[in-house]
Amino acid sequence: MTDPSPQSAIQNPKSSAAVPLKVVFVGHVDHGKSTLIGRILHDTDSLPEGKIDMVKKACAAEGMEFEFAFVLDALLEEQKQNVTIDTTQIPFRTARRNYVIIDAPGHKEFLKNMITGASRADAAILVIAANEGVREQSRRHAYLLGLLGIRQILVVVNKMDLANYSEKRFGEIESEYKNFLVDLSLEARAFIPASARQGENVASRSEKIAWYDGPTLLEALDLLEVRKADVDLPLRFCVQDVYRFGERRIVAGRIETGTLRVGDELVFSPANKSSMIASIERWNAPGMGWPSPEIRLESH
Amino acid sequence: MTSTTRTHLDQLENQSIFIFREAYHAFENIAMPWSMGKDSNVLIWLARKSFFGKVPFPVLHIDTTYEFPEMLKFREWATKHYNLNLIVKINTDARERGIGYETHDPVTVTHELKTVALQQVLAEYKWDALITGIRRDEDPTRAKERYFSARNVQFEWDYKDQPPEFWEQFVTSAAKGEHVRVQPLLDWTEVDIWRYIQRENIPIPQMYFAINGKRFLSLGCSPITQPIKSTAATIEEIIAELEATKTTERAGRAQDHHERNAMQKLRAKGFL
Ligand SMILES: Nc1nc2c(ncn2[C@@H]2O[C@H](COP(=O)(O)OP(=O)(O)OP(=O)(O)O)[C@@H](O)[C@H]2O)c(=O)[nH]1
Ligand SMILES: [Mg+2]
Repeated sequence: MTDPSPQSAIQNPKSSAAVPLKVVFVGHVDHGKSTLIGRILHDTDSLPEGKIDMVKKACAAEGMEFEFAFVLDALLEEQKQNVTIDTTQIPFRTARRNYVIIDAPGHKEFLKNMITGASRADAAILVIAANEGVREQSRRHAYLLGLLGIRQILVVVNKMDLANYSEKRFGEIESEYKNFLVDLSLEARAFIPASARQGENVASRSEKIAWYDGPTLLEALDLLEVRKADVDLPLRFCVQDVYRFGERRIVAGRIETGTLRVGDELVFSPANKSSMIASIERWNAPGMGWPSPEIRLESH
Repeated sequence: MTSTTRTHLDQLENQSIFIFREAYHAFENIAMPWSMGKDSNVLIWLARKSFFGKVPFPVLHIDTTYEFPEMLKFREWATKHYNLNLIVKINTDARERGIGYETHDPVTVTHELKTVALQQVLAEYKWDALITGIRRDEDPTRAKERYFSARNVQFEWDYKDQPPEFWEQFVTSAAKGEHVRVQPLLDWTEVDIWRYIQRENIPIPQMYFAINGKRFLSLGCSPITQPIKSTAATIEEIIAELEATKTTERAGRAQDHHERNAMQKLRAKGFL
């Protein structure tokens, strides 16, 4: 039986073994989600060798200027149209902890892909372009975050370079969108003015946006928390299958909420029959020593 | 209320086992491709954990005839040791037509000896699901994959119109002649795989460990898979090396870099 997974309380920032925070980037088409992620990966020196050269070549082949978005938008069709079609997940780490960054498409045609990506997230970054302001998917994506139970939201007001880094423009978008979130019983932890293309307030503090004294995007990310398993709720165990070994019946499945132990009385739905847990089975491979002497093979 | 602390590896293992069991419950006729590489061996390990010690479906080795001899020895050992129902498939027709790395480009050869071979054996056994060991961090097209991903009769992957996948609702049926790829390792990274191999003592071929200053990151066909410079001779050293390096795992695989978007083209046509 597999259990829910409450994360370890203390995360070891030095180790790639710690539980990652899953964060999804959502918002209206073209507002700069993929560029923002590409920028984060680039500015934190997280891209594999040769990646930037590959992106440069792809941009040249398409006759475009350099696009950080191509780090994520790897499909030929995505690059030709400069649009994200499907969601991507990419591991990433800061000094503080591990992340899985999820890029979601903003085009309304690909809403199912946005939901696919967002459904796995602990937190969301909602991106709004300063020049275009709040648009249809800026709102719809927030609705969906609410529906998916994602409560930790940061709003990035991107493309501030196209709005002269104007405090007034930022303030307009912030107050309009704040009010909208209140209607959904949502609240953003921060509104961050940034420029993904210029790298302002992404991984390092912007001098062009000196009027802002809140966190950069990277700092704000590090303040988010991994979603906790609901161990204090009543047990809900989804049965996947029943394995029969002679007289024994093993109910295979996963705990969604709550906990269980031997002796607990369970009610099975929809039949409403009850039964008691006789044992909790978990198969562990017998140790076989490593490297196994039988498979010591000659060298290459 | 007490709660046990689950590590990241526990979470990954749980999710993979969950997917194995969903697949086993949903599909009639499953097979699991097995390359004897590290991910493949983790897959076998997880299958045994899911089904109480035994792998309840056949494992399939697509033998390109360009296999490293060490890998074939490992195949023999592991088949016996795990009591596997092993099926070996070679695209003999293509070999007889003279398709090979000596004369053809790696994309063509890989397609013929791996993808077409897989098509042939699938037509023969009529599997409706294949359990694969691909991971999102291997390449950018795999980063867009689903846990359950359909392939049509021609084996094509409709990557431009993938199904929604959330709240653990999966594509669990295939039309006649089509099949579903079930991908339990999607969330794992290369380092996760190594940590798990270390934690669980999973046997793997020795070629991953450095000898004379070289080791393999990923094992494909012998003519087109190059070792990297490395002194990492233990799992600890490999993990330390991975945490410090910026070289990608598949950097030593020629077919991935043959042309722009080479991997997308291969995978759209059915490559794992
Ligand atoms: N001037 C300016 N342009 C930006 C900025 N961020 C992104 N862009 C540009 O806006 C365009 C769209 O960026 P993307 O990152 O592809 O947008 P997206 O939100 O990921 O789009 P979809 O995924 O298709 O919804 C690209 O041409 C970017 O270079 C910015 O801060 N300033
Ligand atoms: Mg995008």
